[in-house]
Amino acid sequence: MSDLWNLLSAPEFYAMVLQLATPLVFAALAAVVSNKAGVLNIGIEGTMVLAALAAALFSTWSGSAFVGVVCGVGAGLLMGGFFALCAVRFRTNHILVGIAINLLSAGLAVFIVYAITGNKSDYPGIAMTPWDVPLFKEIPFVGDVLFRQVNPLVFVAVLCVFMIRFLFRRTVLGVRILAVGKNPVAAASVGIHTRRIKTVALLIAGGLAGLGGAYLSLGYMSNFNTGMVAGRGFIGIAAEAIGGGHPVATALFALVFGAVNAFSLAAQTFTSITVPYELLNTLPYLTTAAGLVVYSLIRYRQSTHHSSKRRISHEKSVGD
Amino acid sequence: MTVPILRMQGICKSFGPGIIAADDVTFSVNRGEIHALAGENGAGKTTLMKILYGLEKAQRGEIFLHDRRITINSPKDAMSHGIGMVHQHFMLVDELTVAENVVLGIEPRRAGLFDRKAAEHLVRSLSERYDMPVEPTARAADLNVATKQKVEILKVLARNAELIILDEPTAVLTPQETKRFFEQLKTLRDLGKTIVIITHKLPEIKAICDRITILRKGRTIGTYFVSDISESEISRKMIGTEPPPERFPQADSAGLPRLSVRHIWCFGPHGKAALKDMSFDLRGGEMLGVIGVEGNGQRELVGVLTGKIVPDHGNVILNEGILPSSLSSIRKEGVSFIPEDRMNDGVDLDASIEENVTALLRQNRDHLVGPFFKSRKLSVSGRRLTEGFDVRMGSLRDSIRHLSGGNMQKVVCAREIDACGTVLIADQPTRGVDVGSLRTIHDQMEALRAAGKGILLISSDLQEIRALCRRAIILHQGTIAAEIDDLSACSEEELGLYMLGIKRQEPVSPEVAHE
Repeated sequence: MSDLWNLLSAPEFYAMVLQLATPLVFAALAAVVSNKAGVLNIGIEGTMVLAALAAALFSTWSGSAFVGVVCGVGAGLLMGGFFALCAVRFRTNHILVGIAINLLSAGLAVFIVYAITGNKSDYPGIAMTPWDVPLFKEIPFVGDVLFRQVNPLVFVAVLCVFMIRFLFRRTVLGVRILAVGKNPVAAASVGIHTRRIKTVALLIAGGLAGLGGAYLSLGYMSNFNTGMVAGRGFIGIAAEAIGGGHPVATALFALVFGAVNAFSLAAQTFTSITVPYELLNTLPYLTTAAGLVVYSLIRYRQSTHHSSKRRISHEKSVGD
Repeated sequence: MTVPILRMQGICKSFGPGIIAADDVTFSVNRGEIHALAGENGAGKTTLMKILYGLEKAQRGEIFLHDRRITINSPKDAMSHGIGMVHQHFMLVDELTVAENVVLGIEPRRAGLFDRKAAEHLVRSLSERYDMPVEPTARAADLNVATKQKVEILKVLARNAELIILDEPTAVLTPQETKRFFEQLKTLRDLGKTIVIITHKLPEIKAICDRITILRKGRTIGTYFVSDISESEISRKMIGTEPPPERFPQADSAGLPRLSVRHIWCFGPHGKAALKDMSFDLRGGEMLGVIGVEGNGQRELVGVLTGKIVPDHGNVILNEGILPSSLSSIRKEGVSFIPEDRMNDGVDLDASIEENVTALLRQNRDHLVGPFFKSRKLSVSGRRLTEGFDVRMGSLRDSIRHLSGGNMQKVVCAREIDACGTVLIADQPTRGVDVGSLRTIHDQMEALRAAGKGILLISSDLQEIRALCRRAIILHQGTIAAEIDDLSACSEEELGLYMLGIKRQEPVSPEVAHE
């Protein structure tokens, strides 16, 4: 128990939660934007792999972490564009495109790394310099977690959550993405170019996944390795589903998954009890599965509740 | 009044060889009138309007607006010329609010952002001006059908449409809602809008339209002042033959109860009762109508009778036994079922006409040799059934997908009526079906009844039930609001009161009550 208490009372643990949640937040936001446009984008995972690689490559070549991040986003946009080309322009099944992107990315990453370095898994990158926020960092505990030695992309992730929320609440593009995603025929009937809107949404999603990938190779670590995304794209999709597509709720669930991930790493150092680390490593994925089951149970109840509610309101208004 | 606002001339459109939707059609509408575009299903009226609205492209022909020739390639073009269309199936995004739906595609902006306030204001001012009350902040999913229709019209008005096309607008409305809707249309006309209604309901044409253009098989039969032409003349011009004499339901040769529903209760997932203590009998040789606004338990009742829903209390007795629990075993008892949704439940869109019409015969011994089908025999049966129901088609082997709605429904009815042993459950058997097909289906159902089978007819079309049934039950909120023994002695207004739950018949039929 004392292990657990020590862990939960240390600011380092919460800082680690933030670090581990950040790529999940980006992935989850990418899933939010794709899903609102009516696309189940399972290619987020592969997009993150290539973006992480691109970020590492170009940061080393240019000597600048910033250039690396920009190129990571660029790679994300490219993959988003590729997804749109296949799924929107040529009307390929979304899931198949996603699978293709994931397989392609995994293979391509190994190939590129091998072609350049001769080893098959790693490529160094230039890490971003963490920020200290003056004054705020002096706040006890909270300052250590949120404002000391924090990667700039963590702040970008928080900013993105609210930007995506703003997108769907306040912009014309957001409303149109919603319309296209929920009822494309209706959207087309009022002259909205549904393909164009979907493509834009997929590009935004690609860019967000790109940020997530770049964070992994330049923030969380300072090198690229081929297994580093490790299902985070899929966990992001799960967080989106549990968050019901609301950006803030989705980000909070990404944070929960980040916490579980941090816990599974930290628990390996526990001395009082020894759990095989292989088992601990499965914890984030088990939580994801459990979360999805709980979510779908809740959702099922709500939907049946909603339909009966709708029937009542229908009867009422007819009775008036 | 006599200035044509729109003229379509020499419009030709064919969908592949042999399927001609418009053959040199001419159509002209005057400013400020309500103009009916009438014809059977497949006569080309919807296609003509889709051409006007830019959803289909004509192969030949010209469109003149205010005597100027225009080209329309997309709904956007049509809207920019002041032409708007309300589709038969509503085009609303359920997740968005009324205001968002109305301005979708023409969103007001302020500082580059979506100006929700302005959108809501626009909806309020439009609904005030045109007398169509609707709450701009309500979510579209929560609206009833009549309100959704108002939102659709507001959508068109928000785009400054001068000419509004309505595709079968009353198909989903109750008589009361229809009446109110017509008043709103008259308001629109009096405020200078021009309205085209696509319809095949003759009483409505008489009630509200100024002029009528009749199409038949892709050709213009003519344009007339509604005041100068009688309903039977309209009908004759639409079908091309003499209309049937008005049908009076025969006195039922009521036999033994075939299907007895006893104190059925069905609860929704949240404890709300969808069916409350419902009891009735269906006898052999009678056609029992089920009347009611949609969503008052019809779906659940049909679900129970077809094995889709297990009732929470009560039971159903079929041919003196308990109703089996699956549709296939219910069918083995001689029950046939015409489902409401022909596209999804009635036919297999990927299969041929023959496969669809003979689907039930395929389990039949005399169409099988061991595990194999007797294909020649199936073809013969397929031809017999489709000819008996006058299905208009190319070949039996064609995909059923290309049949018009009416012909597709005739395939479903042919299959089910042919297989019917004791009871037919007909759920909206003629929805969206043209007059000719409707007559065929009604004739066949009537013949089936006369042969001593029991038919349960669920229909949202009061006229249909009045034409076919002598006895009917009226559903309201999952209960039987009234059981009418002789429909001809009951006025439509009274039926409407029962449907809306304003009036209830207190003593239920004594026989059932004593059960």
